Amino acid sequence: MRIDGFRTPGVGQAFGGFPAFGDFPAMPEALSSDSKMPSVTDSFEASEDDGPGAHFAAILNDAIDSVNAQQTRSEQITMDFALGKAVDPHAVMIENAKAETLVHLTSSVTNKMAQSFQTLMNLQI
Amino acid sequence: MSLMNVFNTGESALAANRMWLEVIAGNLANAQTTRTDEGGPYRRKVPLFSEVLDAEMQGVRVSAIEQDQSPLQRVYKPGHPDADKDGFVSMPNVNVVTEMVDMIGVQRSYDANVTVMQAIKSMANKSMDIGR
Repeated sequence: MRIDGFRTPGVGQAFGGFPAFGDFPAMPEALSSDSKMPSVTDSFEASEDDGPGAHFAAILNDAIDSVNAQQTRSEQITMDFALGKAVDPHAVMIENAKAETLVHLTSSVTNKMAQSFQTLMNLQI
Repeated sequence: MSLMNVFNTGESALAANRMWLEVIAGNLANAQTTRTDEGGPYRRKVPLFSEVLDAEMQGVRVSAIEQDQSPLQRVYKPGHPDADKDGFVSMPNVNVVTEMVDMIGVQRSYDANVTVMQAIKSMANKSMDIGR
């Protein structure tokens, strides 16, 4: 049995005479047909899409985008008011209050997220 | 976002109140006006409020500004250029006292809506304490 174990196909074939070189490329063919074979670049790209940290990043990005939009609105309406356009003073204050509330909320959520991330990173394994 | 809905609703109410105050200002300004573009003396204007229901708010808007059809005041002023042959002038149906009372109502309503927004803001701030 042990000797049989040594009888790898290549060795056996070698004893029976070398196969034509054309037979060997079967292996790369099998590799290429397996399209899901991971490559270095694949794994690198995948880690950007849904690797660890991607969800944290997505949540933070979404939150910050919406806050940024509100900040822009608030800035715009304040500028319009200062320029003497027909803007109600209460509209200016309301947009400012919205922006302020959103910034507070975002900073709380961001702090909490960073804290969660740190907690996970500090897990003892 | 429901938080913003409250702000939008409050803003619509503040805008409606401001519009109402504009109407009152017009009424008081024209309390003695005897000539208008459509002819005859000025008639008191009344704003009509309509509910606004959509995804962003549950607010109010001024849908129309109508004329008060109550009778005009007949005042005896023989020297007035618009007096009829009996010496009576048709004066606007604006009662200054009524307008003043309405104005107090507008101010209180405005205050109430500002308080609503302060309340939602302090609620939002309070909710952040949950994470502390």
